[in-house]
Amino acid sequence: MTGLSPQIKPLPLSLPLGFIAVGSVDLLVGVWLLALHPQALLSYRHPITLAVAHLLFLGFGVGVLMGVMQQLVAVILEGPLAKPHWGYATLLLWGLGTPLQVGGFLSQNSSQLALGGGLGFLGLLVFALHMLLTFRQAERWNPVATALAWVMFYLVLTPLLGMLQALSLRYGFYDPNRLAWHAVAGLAGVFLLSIWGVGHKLVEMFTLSHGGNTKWLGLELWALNLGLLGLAWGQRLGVALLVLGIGIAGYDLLNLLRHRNKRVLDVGVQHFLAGAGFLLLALGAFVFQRYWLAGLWFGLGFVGLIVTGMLYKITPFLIWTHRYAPLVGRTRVPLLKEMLPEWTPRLAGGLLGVGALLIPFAPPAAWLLVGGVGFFIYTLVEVMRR
Amino acid sequence: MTDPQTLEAQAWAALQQVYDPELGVDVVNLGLIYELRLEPPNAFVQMTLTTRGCPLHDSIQGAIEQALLGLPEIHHVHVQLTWTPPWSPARLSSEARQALGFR
Repeated sequence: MTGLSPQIKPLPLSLPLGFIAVGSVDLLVGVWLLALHPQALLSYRHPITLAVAHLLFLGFGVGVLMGVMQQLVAVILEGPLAKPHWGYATLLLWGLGTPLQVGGFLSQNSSQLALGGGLGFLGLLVFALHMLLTFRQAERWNPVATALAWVMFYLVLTPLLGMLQALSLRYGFYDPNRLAWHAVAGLAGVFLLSIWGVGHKLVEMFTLSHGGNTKWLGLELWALNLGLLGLAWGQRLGVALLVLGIGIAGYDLLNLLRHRNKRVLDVGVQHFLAGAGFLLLALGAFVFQRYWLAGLWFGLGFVGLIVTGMLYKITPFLIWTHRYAPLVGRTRVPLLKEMLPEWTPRLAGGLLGVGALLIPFAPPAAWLLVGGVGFFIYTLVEVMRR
Repeated sequence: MTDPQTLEAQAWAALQQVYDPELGVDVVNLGLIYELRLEPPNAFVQMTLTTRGCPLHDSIQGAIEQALLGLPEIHHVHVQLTWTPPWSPARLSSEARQALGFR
């Protein structure tokens, strides 16, 4: 049987790159704040810690996730986005809301916090609704799409819990467990599921892996979601299921690598593996109830390394598609790896990795993170120039 | 008029200039071309991709069209994508295996 491929119109470059650019600036501002105010590391409720956490997770992590999904969902579902132009509304609302919210934390101005949080939440709602419409029109379904559907659920749940917590501070029904839930739904629900869901597809493509099995991803989703439910009910079984889910994710990754046909692992996949190592460290800290340590390694090591690493693969592809694809077959065009500077991604990864590892014990290590993010941004700018 | 064997050789050589920009290997050595049929002024290509939904599909299809339109007597190129049989690493040529650092 043969069939024509689905005709997916390429997105305007400004859409995914807009999210990536704003998210990268958020990351730089976040680590800079941390370096300038290392005392923030003493408490997770310090205003600067809250500002940095939102710059890192909501600004950088969620921003890149939304930008990349504009491009990748069409690949995963083998069909077009339902309303591509809605992405600009999300970019505007989230792009304005996040810095306003962060400013609200820093100035402890509750009105600004509410305005920023509200705008950001509206942006996430538009994005989740757009993805829902896209998922509904999909003709093919797979475990990666299931992972992303769960991510959409947690992407809406997390800010809802955060806003409820903010309101409770004002109206007097504060519950510390709700803050923990806001963090767990965001960290595990959004980032663990999205990084492993999207990462499964990306690692498979970047290593030319064939013969693996997506059933492991399906099992992992069950374990992680039930684990989160268990944690919500305060059950230790929840932790056990999270450990099981991450164990399955690790096996899935090894399985993909075992079936790879591209022997040499490029810098993006190397970052992915280093980030997976940080996930194990974070998990160990979590199991031994060192939650602050777990959060730092999870955010700066796992999310930071994997997301920057994947951008070393995705950004050249986006630029290549718009700049060089129309010239293919007519003239010599560069390969994707030729668009990436040779040593700055490794230097950025090394600085980010060492900085993330040391920062819980030596706060000045935040300057290593600043250097790492600087080289990361320099690399992306170079890719855009090539 | 170019003789059919020469034209076909030229067509395969032209396809070997179409690279997957991620892997750095051309579509012929990757084993993506299932069928090439030349009936001047038409050329027909049946091909696959290494991964379903590969985002490079449009670029690679366009490149194949451009490459074959550069041949004498070919004025129309029809590229058809198929997933049956699915691509497998067994289709890689020895040159491609070497380029990918195949064990």
